[in-house]
Amino acid sequence: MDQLVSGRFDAGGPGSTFDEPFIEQVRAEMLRFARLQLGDDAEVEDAVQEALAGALRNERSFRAEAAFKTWIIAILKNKIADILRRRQRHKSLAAQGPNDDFETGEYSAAFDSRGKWQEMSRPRPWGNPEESLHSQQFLAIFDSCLGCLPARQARVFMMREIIELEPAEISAETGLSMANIYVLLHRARLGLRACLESNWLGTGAQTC
Amino acid sequence: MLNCHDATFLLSQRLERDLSVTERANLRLHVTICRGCTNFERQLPTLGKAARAFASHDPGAEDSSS
Repeated sequence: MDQLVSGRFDAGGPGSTFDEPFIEQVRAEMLRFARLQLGDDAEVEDAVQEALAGALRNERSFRAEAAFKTWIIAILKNKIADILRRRQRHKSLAAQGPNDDFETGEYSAAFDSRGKWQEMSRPRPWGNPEESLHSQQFLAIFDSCLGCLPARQARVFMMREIIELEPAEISAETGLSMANIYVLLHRARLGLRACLESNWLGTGAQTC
Repeated sequence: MLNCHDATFLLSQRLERDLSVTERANLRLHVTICRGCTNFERQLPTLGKAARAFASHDPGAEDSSS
């Protein structure tokens, strides 16, 4: 096996399984993923570098690039969780800025004053979209929709759905109450849903 | 009777905690007669899958699906 790959660029040491463009691509994706959670921060680069180095030490266990990536993301998730825990000791997310996610009105904009769907906001059937979840176009739209959410909603949503933390863990790490976490997740899902429906399924032209 | 806001709030919370018997009954009653909330309920799992696809997408798999 090793002589088959020895002609490829030496990305992770002699006999590296994966070539440099692939490693660079993985690094870029990991950085993007980590920045969503941690913001643009020196810690992000360190976490990515450590996860990548750790994974490359064991790269020969992985023949397929996809399996390697899945594993490296798992390492990175743990590192992000560690950093979030460490940050918790210094500051809490709840203490950052005004509570602009919690509107003063009773319902978010998708609903009328009696809590019914606004005509424009009522969810429509999505058919069977799961086939396109991995398309480049979808990923770009998802990226921009996530960016449209208020920062705190996006962060809690990512903690829950990507890092797959339990609500109690999110509460411990952010200082937010469970009730607030439920509200933020509800808002995030409503916002993301509406944005995806209008941009991905082509029912509207607005960005957010 | 729940309104759509409260029904979607329960549908969302159901991904984080177990709903009470009363909450489940009220939710079912509403969703059965509400098309918008029925669609919302079906879309919720897709949102989670989409987020995970976004975080860990494999560039090699993109070309085949487009």
